[in-house]
Amino acid sequence: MRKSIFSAALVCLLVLVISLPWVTAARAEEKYSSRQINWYIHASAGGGTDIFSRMAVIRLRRILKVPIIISSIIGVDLEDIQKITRALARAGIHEIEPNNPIASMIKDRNTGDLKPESLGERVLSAIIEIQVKRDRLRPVLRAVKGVADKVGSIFCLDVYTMLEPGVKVPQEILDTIRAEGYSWRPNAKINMGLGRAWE
Amino acid sequence: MAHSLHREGSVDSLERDYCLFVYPAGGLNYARSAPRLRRLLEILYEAGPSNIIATSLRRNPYSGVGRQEVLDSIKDGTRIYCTFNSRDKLKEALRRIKEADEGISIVVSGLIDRVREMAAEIELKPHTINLSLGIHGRTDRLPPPPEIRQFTTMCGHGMVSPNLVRDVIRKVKRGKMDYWKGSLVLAAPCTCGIFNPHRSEELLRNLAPLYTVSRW
Repeated sequence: MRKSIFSAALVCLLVLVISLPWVTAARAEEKYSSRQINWYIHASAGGGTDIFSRMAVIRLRRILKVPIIISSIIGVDLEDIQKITRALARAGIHEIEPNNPIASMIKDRNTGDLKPESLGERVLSAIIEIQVKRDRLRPVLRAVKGVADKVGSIFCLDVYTMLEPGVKVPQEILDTIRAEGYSWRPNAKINMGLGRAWE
Repeated sequence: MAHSLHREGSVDSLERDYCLFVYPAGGLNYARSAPRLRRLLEILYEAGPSNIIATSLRRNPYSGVGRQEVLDSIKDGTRIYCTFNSRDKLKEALRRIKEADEGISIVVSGLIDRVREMAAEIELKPHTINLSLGIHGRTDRLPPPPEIRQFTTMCGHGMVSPNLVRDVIRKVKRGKMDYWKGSLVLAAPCTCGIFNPHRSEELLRNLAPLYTVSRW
């Protein structure tokens, strides 16, 4: 099965919209904990995560003896995800991986609209996986670039593809990436080809 | 999973930072994989990783967990994540994994050129690559590069806070903590086992002289 997937999929992309756990405004020049602590959660107010955090903070305030403020900041709003799915749909990209959780939230693949009940929810992180032929990489990269400044969080963009002999990335892929104004990092993840199926 | 893909830092620093992942796959080689995974874990231990965890236990070697305890925890489908601080150690691990021929998928994250060289030297045939095209969107909210992100991106889940990095730098600078202990403090929140404390120690050594502490 894996072999058939690889042969069919020449280029796959991951758009990983991740949370910002490292984003805080506090400075580190003072002894911990001497100032107010900002406790960031990804979930909406009133939910389980929020309630748990508030219960924990009651005790923690007594121990640390500093104010602790809970804010629902970390994570990504699903409306941001919709901005990307809509941009992809406008570019004619509808090949979101069906087993990806995001796929089940999409109401209309033609428009990229998410189900209304999903909107307003926040998640810690989300991955949009798309599998396209090599010649369709360009519109995907262009669509993502076009929407990047409208997304309220950060996201990572990855491309994965089959290698040519000698661990060579297909020149066509590199040319497309370069032509669309992206660059790739010198470090990458590489499957060493040692797995096999026995189930 | 792309959580090791966005490690930042100079190429020189990344020369001493490689991740290796052992991934049994559901529906392909998940069933009856435990004995094979134990053998692979033993091989990895022998190669001298800088950090290593098995997902069945999620505790790194610096948390006090012993090798036997980790080996005993291995079940079918357990994934193993580890880092190496040298190309030679990684190469030796790959060579022995190839010899063992356990049939479990092995993924290496590191400098493409170096992995290409290793693959040629030990006659492996990698088939897929995952390239990072960088971080986009609200990048203005990220901590400033390169001094902080080269630490925080070593944990793929972002569990190493930039404030913890600053705190450790400050303690090292003030002589309250040595470089290695500071690195272990930074490695502690990482449950994915790919924070490289040897690289972190090196980064702290380079950074401490440049960092200004406003209060002693």
